[in-house]
Amino acid sequence: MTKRDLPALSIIELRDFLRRGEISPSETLQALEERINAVDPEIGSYLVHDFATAMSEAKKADVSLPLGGIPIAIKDLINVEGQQCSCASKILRGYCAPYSATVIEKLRGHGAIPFGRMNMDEFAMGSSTENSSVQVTRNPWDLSRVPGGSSGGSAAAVAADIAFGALGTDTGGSIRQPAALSGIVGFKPSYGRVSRFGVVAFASSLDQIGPLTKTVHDSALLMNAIAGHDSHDSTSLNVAVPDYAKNLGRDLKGIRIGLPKEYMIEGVDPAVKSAVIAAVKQLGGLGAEIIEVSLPHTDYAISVYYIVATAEASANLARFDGVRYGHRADNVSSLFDHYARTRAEGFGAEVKRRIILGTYVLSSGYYDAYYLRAQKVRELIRQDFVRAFEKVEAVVSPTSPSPAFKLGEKTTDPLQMYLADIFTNAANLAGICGISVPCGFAEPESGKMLPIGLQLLGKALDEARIFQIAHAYEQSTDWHKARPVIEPIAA
Amino acid sequence: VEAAAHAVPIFNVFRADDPCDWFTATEALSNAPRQANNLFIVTKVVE
Repeated sequence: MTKRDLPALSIIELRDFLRRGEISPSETLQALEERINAVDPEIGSYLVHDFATAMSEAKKADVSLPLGGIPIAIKDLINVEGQQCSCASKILRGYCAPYSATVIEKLRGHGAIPFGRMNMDEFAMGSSTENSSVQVTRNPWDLSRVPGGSSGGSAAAVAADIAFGALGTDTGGSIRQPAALSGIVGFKPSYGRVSRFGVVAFASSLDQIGPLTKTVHDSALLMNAIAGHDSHDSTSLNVAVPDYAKNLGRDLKGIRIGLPKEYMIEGVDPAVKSAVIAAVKQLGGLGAEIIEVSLPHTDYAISVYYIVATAEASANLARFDGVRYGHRADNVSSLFDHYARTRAEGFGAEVKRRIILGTYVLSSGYYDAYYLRAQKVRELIRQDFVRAFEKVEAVVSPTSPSPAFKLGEKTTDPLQMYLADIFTNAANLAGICGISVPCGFAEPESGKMLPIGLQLLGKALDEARIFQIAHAYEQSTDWHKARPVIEPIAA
Repeated sequence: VEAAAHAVPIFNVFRADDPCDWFTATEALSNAPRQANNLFIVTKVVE
């Protein structure tokens, strides 16, 4: 292996090289930096990265730890002390985190080096990363297309071999959908499994931090590091965390996988449909029993999501008032003018849209009609999954109804953009876990390969089983081995 | 149907009320757009 090939390694492969002493953490970081400089001008996944600080950590790294000396890219809404945390928003431009999120402390405890602040949709609101106030991120498989979102910077960097692994957040699909569109593995833990302390809140009852990686095994390793109870997050669950890498390699005999009849709907891209059907067949071939299940309230998930998520967002984003941190409007005439202009200048269009929607559904006279009713339907959606998981261990579906779409294709129609998360929203509402693994390619035009993702959902806290199933599928296919050829775009 | 406020129903989570080191005033003010005398400057509230 040459230093040029080094960034293409998975975390587990890199760990072996580091432990054998064939390469050092400093050389790893150096090689990564060189590839970032060569490739990221085309991709636009890193907002900033502090090579010098990471290098000082690399020099002290203990490679005997589970993630010793391995750089992990961080979505720009997870606080790392001393680094920017802008949420790709103008309102937090220049904000420097005064403390680190629990997941960062845990990553460091496992020896990893948080490296880089990854682009995202502003405040994680979006499905294409086009809502970033800073820059465009391009899909490494086709630079004219989006990487998905909102963790698009994290996903594109892992896909382009300019990050070994990354952390993102998933409120309605923001890890799984970009993982699918970028051809990598994205994992959303069950609600409460991973501490949210130190992540900038979007919708507190839906948000979860999770890993984006090249392989299922890498995903399990990162989950081993970040999962577990935290007294700083009252919604974090005080339950034992199993070793997620332990069950990998087991076959699927005795595992029942549910195919929800409501998910093979019109409007799913034919290439996605055929790839998912083939993947289900493959899972059957590996010993799993495939059973049709019903999730009868599926149709309501998007509507419920955009009431619950916007309501919570409108409350969470009230803290950006231009007093304690962030942008503050100049020359204001009154307190009202201060708030109004600070927020008008600081927030982008999609964030404003969601704050307005959220305050509307919570407002007096409309609360019962919208928010309360949505909470009731949320319970019905949750019960759909409880009933399904009495019959099966996992539910399988496409992650996204289509492969990566063109930059600009959906920016003028917010509803079309919201539909990109049609298969992922329900898992957040129900608080269950889910993964997206590569399951094929679409070829919309000659020479362009666009990744397709397979989603596997598991019941709350059953992450280990989902990793086992996803790993068995992944290892029986070659989809995860394909890498994009990044062609410079014409100036 | 009950309204689901959370996917995982947990209530009344407490931890020991132990004092510990947290932000100093300087750290808390470190991102403030305007400050003076160890305080945030707020736009005039009372006319």
